Amino acid sequence: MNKDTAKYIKSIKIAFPFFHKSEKRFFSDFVSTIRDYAEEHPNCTYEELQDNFGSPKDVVVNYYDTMDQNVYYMIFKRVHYIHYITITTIVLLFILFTIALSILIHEKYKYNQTIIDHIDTTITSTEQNTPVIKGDENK
Amino acid sequence: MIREDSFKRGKNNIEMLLLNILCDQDYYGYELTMLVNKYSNQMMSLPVGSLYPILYKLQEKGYVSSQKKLVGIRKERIYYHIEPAGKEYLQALISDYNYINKAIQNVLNHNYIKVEDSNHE
Repeated sequence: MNKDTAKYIKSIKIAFPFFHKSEKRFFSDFVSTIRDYAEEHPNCTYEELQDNFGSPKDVVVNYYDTMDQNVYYMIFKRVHYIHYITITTIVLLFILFTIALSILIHEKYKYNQTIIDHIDTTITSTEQNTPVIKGDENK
Repeated sequence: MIREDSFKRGKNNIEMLLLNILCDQDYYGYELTMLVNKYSNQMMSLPVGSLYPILYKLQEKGYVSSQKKLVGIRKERIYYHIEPAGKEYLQALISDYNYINKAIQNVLNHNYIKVEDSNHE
């Protein structure tokens, strides 16, 4: 398979708006047909392939145009459903992340408060004239 | 009486041509496109984008079956085979096609006669 054939096959794959089971099956058969052609015409160019099999857009349009309308409808419904699930999941994850972050910040704030309280309450005086703060001992 | 869906014949015509070719022997996808082109004296070409969805549909309905055959060392080809139900369906498609063709021809002839008459006047 030459460079142009590989380029043509790649452009067909890219041209599909989505690539589910039915598209994968078609693509596999389509590639097999292109390979058969490429064996007979080893020096075929990208333009030659377009002339014989159609532009990537034509191939995709022909594919969806010939498909059973019910299957076509089901595919779009499924894609819509997948988009809905994806968006809902992202929104839920964002909400969960925000809640977790809020809890974390709140816990950190509470922890900081207890440290301050601790420091505040551990000021001791060993002698009457020279008060020593425990936190300052290490400095 | 002609059914309303008889006018939506584009796909049915391709189905008819493919099933008719498969009556000779089993063929794989690329061969089928080549044969449609050859038998129509290069007047018709079947886009590969249309070929496979139609074959899948025929397969789902049990009119056609497919079989993978190893070609060479690693390469596999899918050969399509017409089933008895497919032959019956082909007969129905051909009679439907002839019926609608005759109906269209009648309408065209009627108009042609009217045009001829107006030219004479």
